Amino acid sequence: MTFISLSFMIFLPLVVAAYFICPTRWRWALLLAASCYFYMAFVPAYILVLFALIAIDYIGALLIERSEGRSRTMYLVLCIVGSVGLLFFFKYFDFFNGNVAALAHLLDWNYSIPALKLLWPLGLSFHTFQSLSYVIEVYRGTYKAERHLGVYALYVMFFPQLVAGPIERPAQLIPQLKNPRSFDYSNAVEGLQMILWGFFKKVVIADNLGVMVDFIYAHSATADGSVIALAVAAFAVQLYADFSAYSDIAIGSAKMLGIDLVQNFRQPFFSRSVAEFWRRWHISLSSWFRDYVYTPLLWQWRAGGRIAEFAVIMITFVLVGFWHGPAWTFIVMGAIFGTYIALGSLTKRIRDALLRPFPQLLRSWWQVLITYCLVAVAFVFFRAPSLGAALDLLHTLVTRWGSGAFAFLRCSDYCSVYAIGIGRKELLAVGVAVLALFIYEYIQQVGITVPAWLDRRLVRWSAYYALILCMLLMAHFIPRTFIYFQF
Amino acid sequence: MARFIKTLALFVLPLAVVFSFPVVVFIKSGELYSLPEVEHLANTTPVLFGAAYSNFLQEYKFEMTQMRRPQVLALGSSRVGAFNSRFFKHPETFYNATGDVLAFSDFQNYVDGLSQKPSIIIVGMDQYFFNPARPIDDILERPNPFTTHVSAQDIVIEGMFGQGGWWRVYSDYAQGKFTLGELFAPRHMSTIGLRAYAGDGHVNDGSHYPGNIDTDPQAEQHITDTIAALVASINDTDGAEYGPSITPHALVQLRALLHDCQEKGIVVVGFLPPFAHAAYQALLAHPNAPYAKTFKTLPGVLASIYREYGFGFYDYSDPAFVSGSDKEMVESKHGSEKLYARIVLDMARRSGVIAPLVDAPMLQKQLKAATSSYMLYSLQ
Repeated sequence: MTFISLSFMIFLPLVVAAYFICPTRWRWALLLAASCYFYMAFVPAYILVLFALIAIDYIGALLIERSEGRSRTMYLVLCIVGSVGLLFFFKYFDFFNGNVAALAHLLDWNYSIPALKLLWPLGLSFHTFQSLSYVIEVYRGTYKAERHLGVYALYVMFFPQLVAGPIERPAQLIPQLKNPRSFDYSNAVEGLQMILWGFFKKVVIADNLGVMVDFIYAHSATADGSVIALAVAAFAVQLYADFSAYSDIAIGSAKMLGIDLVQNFRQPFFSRSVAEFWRRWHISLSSWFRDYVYTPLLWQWRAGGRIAEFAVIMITFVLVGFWHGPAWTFIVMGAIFGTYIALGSLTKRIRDALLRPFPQLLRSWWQVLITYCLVAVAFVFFRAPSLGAALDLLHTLVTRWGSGAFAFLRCSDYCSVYAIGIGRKELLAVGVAVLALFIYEYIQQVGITVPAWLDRRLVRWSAYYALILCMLLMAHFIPRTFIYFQF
Repeated sequence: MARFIKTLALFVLPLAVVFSFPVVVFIKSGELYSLPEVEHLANTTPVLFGAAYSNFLQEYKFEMTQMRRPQVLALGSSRVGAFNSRFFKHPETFYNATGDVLAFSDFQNYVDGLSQKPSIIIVGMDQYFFNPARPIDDILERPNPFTTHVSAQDIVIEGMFGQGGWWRVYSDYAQGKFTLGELFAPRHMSTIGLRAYAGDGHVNDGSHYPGNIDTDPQAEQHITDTIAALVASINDTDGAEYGPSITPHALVQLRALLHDCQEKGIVVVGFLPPFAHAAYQALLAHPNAPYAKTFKTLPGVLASIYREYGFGFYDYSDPAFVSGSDKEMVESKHGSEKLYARIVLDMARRSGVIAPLVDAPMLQKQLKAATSSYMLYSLQ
């Protein structure tokens, strides 16, 4: 059951209604049952993997809390090995095995371990990290181990964020699950607003851009540089609209139940540097790596100076990339982001000096534009099926600019479809929707106070109906899963 | 919570009002019938099936072929739609899977998917399959559509929203394409879908019934307009309709298909379906050499490949080849029932495979007796 489905539109109101009708002390059980049902709607058997993960970290955290010294550390290591071992087995084994086999072949060794070819349990990377944050917090003594197995299981399995985050921390989520709030009108309305906005971003922006991006990537061998540039620029927006839509719907759904989830995106495309971008993009993941990898490593290697700092940045971002999937493309993407940030830090003074003569506003917009371009180029490795394909695409992007550049803007609808996969009218419509998204985000970024007349019910409801109308007119209604479901 | 429910109900009310009319029309017209429902009706009563806002024709035709287990199967794009079971001596042995082939790979997937293979397949080799100007994944290879299950929910979503059915129903109603009276009036046959209410749809043998073209005073003009539009697009250099050579990839796929059919003991009868005479002449006469080159060489190339596997191939790109004319076209690229009767008669004359299946003198007599320009038989 995906968020963008008729089933979810029936499931969510039923769960919300049942949740508030149910006696407070049984609400955790209701949510857990709903979460199990939600997860089992994908591949039922894989709930056993989730149960194994819950069991490992539940028991592990209790043991950690009861122990001291080396045994405490040993239990932590066992928990990490157990949790990451599950993730490795299902998601990364074939990648490592394939690479070892390729190396063995190169060196003429005899190596015959077959690939497992397992279907990944949905969202395994997300709930593994969420579960790990719990045991680490217990180990650090910043959070007490949860005694209630049901509540802990719900912490890992809470359905709105089960398959694609946000990755929650125990101190944020568990107390809310243990102490349910009563129904709140403004929470319910705010939740619905977020869900509506998420639906708009997904079906109007992400899915329509996806049609174009998929087409151009599939025909990149014959495409012009301008067409590739369009795909590269559009994919960054598609990825954002797709993933932030999921987060919005997740946060909105939880909000309707009176549960606050963490913010996962904060207008990332208004960032003025790549480092800032990662503070605003997939915040729950980047802050996880910051708290559990970057900061501890930096502390360990504090004597190493700037070189150690850059090494830590690179390690962290390669891991961030690898978290996304078992492929060299993701590793390279992480390395590119790490390089951007390291170089950004090295060249900050020079860049600031060069830009100083220009007005502040111009400076900011220039930095925003450059950051966007850098990010879009790095995301080529996210989208491309292989390293070779990504490099070919970037080569075309730079070299194949002929007289026919941007011909898709000038020719008929028919030829536009053959060049970029969608007609000019559709391109215009999705362009307007993207513009609306960025205007909305700019208002949030700058913090413009909404005039009172804009907050009147008539205006607000007109806006909601307009969003619904856009969805009904522009949605493809062919199931396109969320991009981050693969992780 | 009561306040929230009230507000939500108030918010949903205008949407409910907007959607109530389409929902009534969709339910009453049968637009939302599930495929098993349509298939059940098509196997038990005379049916005209023509959904206006969703298109699951491929899946429907495939399922029907599986149920009917025909000996003779017409397979191709919408351009083979006019093959009627009544052309043949034993109509019950024939099924027309028109509309099931949108890309060349569909031929193979269709044949592979059938649990009981037909003895003979008559395949329409649309000229565009061999056009190198079109992307391979558009016309040659695409995911197998015959393995997907179409649920009732798919039909509701596709019908109401997928192609904008919920609002198009208002504009179609405003344009008088249907009336509520028609929807509620009793019918002599099962009419499923709004296109069928306008007379246009697929009947029990799978053939396409092109609507009330005999009685519609604007039909002739409309057909003339479509032919003129095609001629204009051929002469428009922006059209990029046909490239300079025959796509080698298509020929590879054709050989694989013919080889596979040969292995399975299926006899293949291939043909190039007709364009309007005016359009075909425009294609040949186009000053841009590649057009003419492709069109002049394609029939010969295909015929020789068919011959390699012991199968017959016939070129009907121009209605004039079977003494037909543009008066027997129902659209610029679609021949009428009458024109296809001529094609079947010609096939029977030239093909030892088709000859025993057709009562040629009877069909000839029916052709002569036909009063309509387009149709040979009335709707069942």
